[in-house]
Amino acid sequence: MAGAGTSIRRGRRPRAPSLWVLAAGLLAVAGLAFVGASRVGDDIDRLERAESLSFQLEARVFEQAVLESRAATSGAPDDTGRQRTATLRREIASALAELTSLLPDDRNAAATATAAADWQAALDTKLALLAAGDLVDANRVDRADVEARFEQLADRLRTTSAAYDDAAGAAQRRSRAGLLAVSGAAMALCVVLLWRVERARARERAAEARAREERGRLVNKILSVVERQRSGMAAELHDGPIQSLTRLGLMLERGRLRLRLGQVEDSLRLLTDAQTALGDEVQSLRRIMATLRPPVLEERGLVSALCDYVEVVRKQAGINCTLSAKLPERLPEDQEIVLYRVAQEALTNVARHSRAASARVELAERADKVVLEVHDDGVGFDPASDPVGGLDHFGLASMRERVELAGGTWTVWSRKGTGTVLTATLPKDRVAAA
Amino acid sequence: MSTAAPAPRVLLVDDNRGFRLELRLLLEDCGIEVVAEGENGQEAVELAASTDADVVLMDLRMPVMDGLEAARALRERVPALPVIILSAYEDPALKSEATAASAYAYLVKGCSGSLVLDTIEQAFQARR
Repeated sequence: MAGAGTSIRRGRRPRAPSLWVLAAGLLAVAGLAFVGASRVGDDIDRLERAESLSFQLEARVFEQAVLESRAATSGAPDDTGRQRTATLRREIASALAELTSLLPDDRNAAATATAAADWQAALDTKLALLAAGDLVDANRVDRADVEARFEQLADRLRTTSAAYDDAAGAAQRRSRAGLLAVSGAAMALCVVLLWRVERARARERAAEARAREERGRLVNKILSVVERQRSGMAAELHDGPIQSLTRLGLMLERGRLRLRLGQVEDSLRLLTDAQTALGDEVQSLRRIMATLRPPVLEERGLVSALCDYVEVVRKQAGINCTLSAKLPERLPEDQEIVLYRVAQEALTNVARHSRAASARVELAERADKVVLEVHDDGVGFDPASDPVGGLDHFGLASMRERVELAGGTWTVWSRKGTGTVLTATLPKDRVAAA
Repeated sequence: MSTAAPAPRVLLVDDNRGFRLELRLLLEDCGIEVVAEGENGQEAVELAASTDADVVLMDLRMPVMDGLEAARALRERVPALPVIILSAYEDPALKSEATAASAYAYLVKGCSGSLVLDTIEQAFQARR
């Protein structure tokens, strides 16, 4: 089938942009915020530890100063005093080393760094003053002067502590901001996820509704056609067999009447006429039965049935209709019925609408499929818009539905002025349930 | 049927020519005159006005005008003329419609010839 005609096929709906890309982006933002908040939390921990160390250090330094002062006033210390002094010195050295390692780096606020430097300076001064305090008694140094310098040290320590508080407050604010960012990102992610899920559900519901509507429409059309067929069959029975059989009854009635009147010859003639009419009527009923279900389809298979039907089209519609069929063996019964009905409907359309001079039916196996094609050289139509031949036209829609129910595919190609090609493909190994 | 008594004259209406012919022959064999034949309800109405039929024997399903419509038209124009419907449909609803259209009787095709003859005679007597 060459050319730029219209082909009707069922396609898959394109997928929406991935939700996971959006989710990954939001998760990355949330992760960064979380890491930032963790680092802020670490800074707070470091500052609190440093503050604690400073208090411990202060206590140790005072204790050491007291011990050394006692030693200075009461002579050589005992072993316990010496051991405690040595322990205090180690603890002071260790605390100082740890404190140094905890000093804020350049990520933290300048105020924090300044505060740490101030703390270090104050500590140095305090140690120096304590050392000087040891000399107070020995050298009679002016105690008021020493107290004043201790007071200065205390001020500097209070300043340092306040600076630490400021730094901790800033860190906590940063932490809260980070947590807010994480929470916001998580909430945004949840909202987007819910929105996407709801939208997907809405799409699904809409697709189901469309499918239900299509099924309903098709069922109505099928019921309508079944009703039309029944009505047509009733009319055919009314006009055909019932009239004929009623007439036969009247003939026999007349024959009986003549026989009663002794008119044997007339009676015999009527009986002979009735017998002939009865034979004609039996033939008529056979034709009706063949229309409903051609016996040849069951007895000799699809190819023979198509051969007979093509002959009928040739004679009745005056179309040069040919059949090319190559099947190595008979198909499952259900598939034969589907393909026969499709060919029958297609050729009926050709005869009714196409004004074709010739038509060709091709039936063949291709790979693991059975393919039926019906070609004609008629006027063609636009499958998308033609009110008679369009897809909504029941003949085509029912054909498509019948083939798809059998697990196959169905296409129609047509263009105005260049004829029509209808193709039905069924899987070879499938026993259809249509 | 007494030979001395007047025989009914029948207007026979059916779109099936073969059936009509056979029925006419049977009626004539039994001494009933078929004064005219029509193929649809329209012809029945026209022939009823132009002939002196005593009884109309008419099919139900016919082209142009069906038997029910013709029966209603005949009731309006020739109320005294009995109409016997002879239909292929054994349908109570149709029978009710025929009765509503003042049909004298509703017979189903396939009934015995004697029933048709008796009904014609009864309708004829009733008219008289």
